[in-house]
Amino acid sequence: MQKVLVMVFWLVGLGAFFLVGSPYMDKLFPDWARFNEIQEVHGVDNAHLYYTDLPIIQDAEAASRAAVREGMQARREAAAAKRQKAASGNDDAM
Amino acid sequence: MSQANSDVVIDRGKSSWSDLWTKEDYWAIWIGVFILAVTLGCIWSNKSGLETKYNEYAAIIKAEKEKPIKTIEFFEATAKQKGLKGSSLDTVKSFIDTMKTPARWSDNPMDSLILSKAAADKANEAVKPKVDAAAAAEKDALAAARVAQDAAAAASYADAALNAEAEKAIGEWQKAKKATADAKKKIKKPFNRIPGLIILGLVLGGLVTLGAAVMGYNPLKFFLGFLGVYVLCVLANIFGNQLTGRKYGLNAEVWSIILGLLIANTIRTPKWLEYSAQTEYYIKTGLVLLGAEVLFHKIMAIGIPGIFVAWVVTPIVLVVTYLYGQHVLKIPSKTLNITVSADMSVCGTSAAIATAAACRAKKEELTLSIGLSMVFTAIMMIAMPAMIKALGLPGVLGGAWIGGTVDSTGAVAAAGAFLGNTAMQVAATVKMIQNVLIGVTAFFVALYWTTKVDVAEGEKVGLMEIWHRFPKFVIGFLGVSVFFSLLASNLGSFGAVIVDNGVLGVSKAGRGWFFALAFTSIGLTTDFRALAKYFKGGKPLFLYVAGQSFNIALTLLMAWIMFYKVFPEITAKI
Repeated sequence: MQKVLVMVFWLVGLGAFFLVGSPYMDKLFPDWARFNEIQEVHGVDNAHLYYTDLPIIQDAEAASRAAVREGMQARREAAAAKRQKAASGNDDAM
Repeated sequence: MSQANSDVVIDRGKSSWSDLWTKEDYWAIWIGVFILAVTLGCIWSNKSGLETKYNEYAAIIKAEKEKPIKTIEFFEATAKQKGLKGSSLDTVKSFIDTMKTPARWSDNPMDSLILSKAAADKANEAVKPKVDAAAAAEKDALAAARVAQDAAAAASYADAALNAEAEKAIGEWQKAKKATADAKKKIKKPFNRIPGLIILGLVLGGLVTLGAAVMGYNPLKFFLGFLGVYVLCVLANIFGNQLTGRKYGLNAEVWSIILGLLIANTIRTPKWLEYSAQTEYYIKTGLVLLGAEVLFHKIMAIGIPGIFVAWVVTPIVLVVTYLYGQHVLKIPSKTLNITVSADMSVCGTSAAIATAAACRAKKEELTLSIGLSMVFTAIMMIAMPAMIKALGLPGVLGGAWIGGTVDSTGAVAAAGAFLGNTAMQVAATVKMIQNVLIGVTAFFVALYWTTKVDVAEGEKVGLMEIWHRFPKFVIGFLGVSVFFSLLASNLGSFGAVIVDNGVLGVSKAGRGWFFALAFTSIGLTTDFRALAKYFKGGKPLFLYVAGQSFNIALTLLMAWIMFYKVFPEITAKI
């Protein structure tokens, strides 16, 4: 009986922490409260285990891939322009 | 993850054909592959229908891209193409619905199991007018966009002013559409999870009992014990979906350990329950299912900068931290050392699980690693965004830094979101690339342990001996990963329909349940006092702090070099 009571005590304690204690902590640490709000807005939370659990991941991946494509295209164009400039500079010298 | 003893294990076991049905590693592979194969089969049998629609939308998108502005038809086709999902097929949807965990709740735990139509209607009373208003605004915005686009089209898109007007109106329509979608998310639909949970328990119980019976367990005893473990899992999932707890990282896996520990260390785990608390069996099956999510082609998502931050820095930090633990801190347990090192350097709990299983770490060591990670994640997810803001670092650099250092994937996205959308995007992408590393990590840790650690001094291990000792489930884990990586990349962008938004819907749910079963089993078979023994002297804490400090410094340096010095063009476009 005592062991059951100890178990119930721990469960009630944990429940009390989350339902009573944590709203109090939110008031005490505004950054934490703000952090919790942001999690709700974006649908992400600290409990997600793997990237496939994140609702935002497919959009994040698509945006990153688009940025890489555009960025590398700009890099290639800049490199081509530089080569052309160097080649025309050599022609002028000759 | 039990070890016969903490000394070097010299395993002279030989492999035989009968291992395929008598060894737990193989049953983990059969069960995992069975679940994935059935799901893929259901989706693949409808592939041609999905592909036809996908190509129709692709043709519309291609044609509309020729026009100087992004038209209404372009956005509609893009949205429809994005909405094509293998997981929306009836059979696959029924699998996913059956595997759903209890729902999120805040005050009343019963809300996680049942929401009646009356309760849903009452909850929606305040929300529905907002949804209707948003939908009406969207309809008006679409009408205005249509008028503006028609005007631009009438001028053959040659009039810059008309084009600008059309783009603005279409942009307003897209905003209104997003507002409607956001408003609709708050609409509650009635549900009843109880029948699904009962069916799931019986099906999972049947699958694991089949394997257990062939391996020599009493099937009836095992099945009954499994149901007991499963009920605790359901409870853990109920607690793990409490909204406040989730924000602090208390997910179903963590609650599974807590509940198991509570029972084991208060009323003592009954023998009939302990019979089916087979941690390794469940964790290996969960890992084989996780393999489907370890998609190697994802590593190119943010280009070479992402590879350097996630795949160059991470192994360096992992190895250096492990060596520090061995030679400086002199941590007695190598398995604890590598599990903490992987947990800290790679991606938190999922990396700890894979590494612990690969090196056969003790379950207390896995529990301790996860506990350490959770504590420091809670600190870092607040401290790092604050530090980034204080230093005035740009969003891309801040996001990459967070992605490469904060352990938990969820916390990374949340911490990135704190800094803004750009930081969240970069943080989540870098973490995704790091997540993919766990397959390779598990393989090399298993190989290292088989060839260098679990050997007598001076002993050389031949190839056959390596095969005998190698944990076979790692081959299943990697094999599934390679298969789905090749499948997804060969299908091109259509791969997302079959894999990301198809098979993964079932594999995610399955691995979640198997990990929760594993962690419940860990808790049920762990003496709390045994945990304290591993923390003696605080060495795991010093290991974590030292390794994470090095990780923070090296990741920042590498992110700055790659994103700002070597590839500034990519950074400019993010």
